[in-house]
Amino acid sequence: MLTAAEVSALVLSIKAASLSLLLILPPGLLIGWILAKLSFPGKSLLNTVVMLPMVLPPVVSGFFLLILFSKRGPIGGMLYRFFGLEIVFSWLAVVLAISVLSFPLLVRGIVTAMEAVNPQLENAARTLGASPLKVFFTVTLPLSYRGVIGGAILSFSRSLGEFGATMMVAGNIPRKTQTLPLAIYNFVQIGQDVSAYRLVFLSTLIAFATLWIAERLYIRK
Amino acid sequence: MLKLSFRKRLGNFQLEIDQIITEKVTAVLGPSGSGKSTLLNCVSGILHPDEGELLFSGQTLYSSQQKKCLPPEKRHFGYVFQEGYLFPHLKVRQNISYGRPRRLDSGKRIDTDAIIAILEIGELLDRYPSQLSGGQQQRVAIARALGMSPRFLLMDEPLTSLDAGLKNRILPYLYHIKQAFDIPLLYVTHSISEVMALADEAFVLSEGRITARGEPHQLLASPSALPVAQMTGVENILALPVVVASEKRGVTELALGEQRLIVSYTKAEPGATMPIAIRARDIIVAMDPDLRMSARNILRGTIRQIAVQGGRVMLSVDIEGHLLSVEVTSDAHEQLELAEGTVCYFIIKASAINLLWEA
Repeated sequence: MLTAAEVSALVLSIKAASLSLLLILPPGLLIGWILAKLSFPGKSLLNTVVMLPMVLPPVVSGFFLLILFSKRGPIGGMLYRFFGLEIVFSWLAVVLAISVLSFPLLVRGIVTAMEAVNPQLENAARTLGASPLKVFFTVTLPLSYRGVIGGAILSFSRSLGEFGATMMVAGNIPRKTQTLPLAIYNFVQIGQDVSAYRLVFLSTLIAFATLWIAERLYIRK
Repeated sequence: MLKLSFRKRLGNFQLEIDQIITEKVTAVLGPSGSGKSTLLNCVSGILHPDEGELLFSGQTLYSSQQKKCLPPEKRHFGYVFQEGYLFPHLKVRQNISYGRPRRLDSGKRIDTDAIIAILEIGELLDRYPSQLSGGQQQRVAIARALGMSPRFLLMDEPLTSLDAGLKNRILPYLYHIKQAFDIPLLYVTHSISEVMALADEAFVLSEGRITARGEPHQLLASPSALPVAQMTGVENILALPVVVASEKRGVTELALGEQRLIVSYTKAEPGATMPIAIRARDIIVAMDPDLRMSARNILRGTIRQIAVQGGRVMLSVDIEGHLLSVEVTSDAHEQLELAEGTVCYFIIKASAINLLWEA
């Protein structure tokens, strides 16, 4: 069976990825909808900013987060002064890092799914008396939910695998910020190969399962 | 009363409308690309005009001066799209009830059961749109628009995507709706027969402008209807008085000045006006009237104008004051030595004359 350190890494990873998904889903839906349905000046800039973490080296994203959220950083400083929150090297830093890094995948999935919803259906709903919000919940979302779930699953598995940014902004503190990939790295470094193998197996299993579910959701349109 | 006075530019295309609609059923006739859908989208609120104003019964729907544009959901205008656009994830029943009926401000509210009965879709309520035929989908789309008890109904070529048989089956439903519900209707189409069947008044839309308007029969018989005729591929549209309709002989005679035009029998009162359409290429030119032949119509006329267009020659022919277009080959043009001012005979088979409207 798993050792306490392995269980803690697994639980931390799943907890952080789930919380992160809950946090990024609402803004992901909003920004996905904006990018899919509206046209406005500066749209490609918004798109680029949102997608940037997908192409930046994760360590670089982590570095930016470290600067922004450290106690002396512009955002971290405010959080510390007003709420006494210290993000960096805490459990929340893990959530922060994986949220930023998995956000583009979520948005990508939502944009693709919502772009596929015929705008004329939404126009028809408007003429039938539905407000834009009602149109979103009764037409756009029901017709794109598979893609939304697919994007959510992909971003969730991306979260479970995040390494570079988490390392930069949350460190690698056992039982506190040590996620599954960080633990694997650690176990290999200190020669605990059996633990590493077990976690590698678990990681592969989770990745396979999520990808498979996502794939089935995409195919069964 | 709907007042439309606005401009809307889309790319290179500009729609410019300045009309007041008062009739119960108004048809807008125009070829594709004439701006029909843009017009309906502006009226429904899906598109914002660039400039001008739109008023409905004293309410401002859009005004560039007041910087006001009522969103579609506040206009309560039903819109039947050409492609239907039913919600694919909802059953027919839910599609029909999607539009929230308006508050009972005028005491009028369309009974959903009546709509379902008139459109004969009671059997379909538990199906999804993908399980319906084209004609059924279009009927459900009409029911959905009526289900919200609209103040005004917009229809964008609701029958165009259907084959001729289906069209003839749905047209009576539209006629029923006109009779049963007191809702003004703006009906966009390029089908003359639909206009004849439904409209109290018709507009001709051409390249973004209304080029003619009037009562359908008169409008389609006037020269301003030429663009309409051309887009439907029918060059000649005439409205002629009935002389006699004989069921026994199987013919109805129409008066073309002193001459008679014989068409297949339709029940009609003498004196009634009957609009007909004849394609230019269905008229044969003869120099001699004394041919023994089966065609019943041999009309005497004068060539007023000859226009050569590639391999085709279009003659503009004056028959008792009515101008008709006649198409001949350039070969025939040369052989017969046709010239402006030539008097000749025009032969039309009764079956080549299309009645646009059953009297």
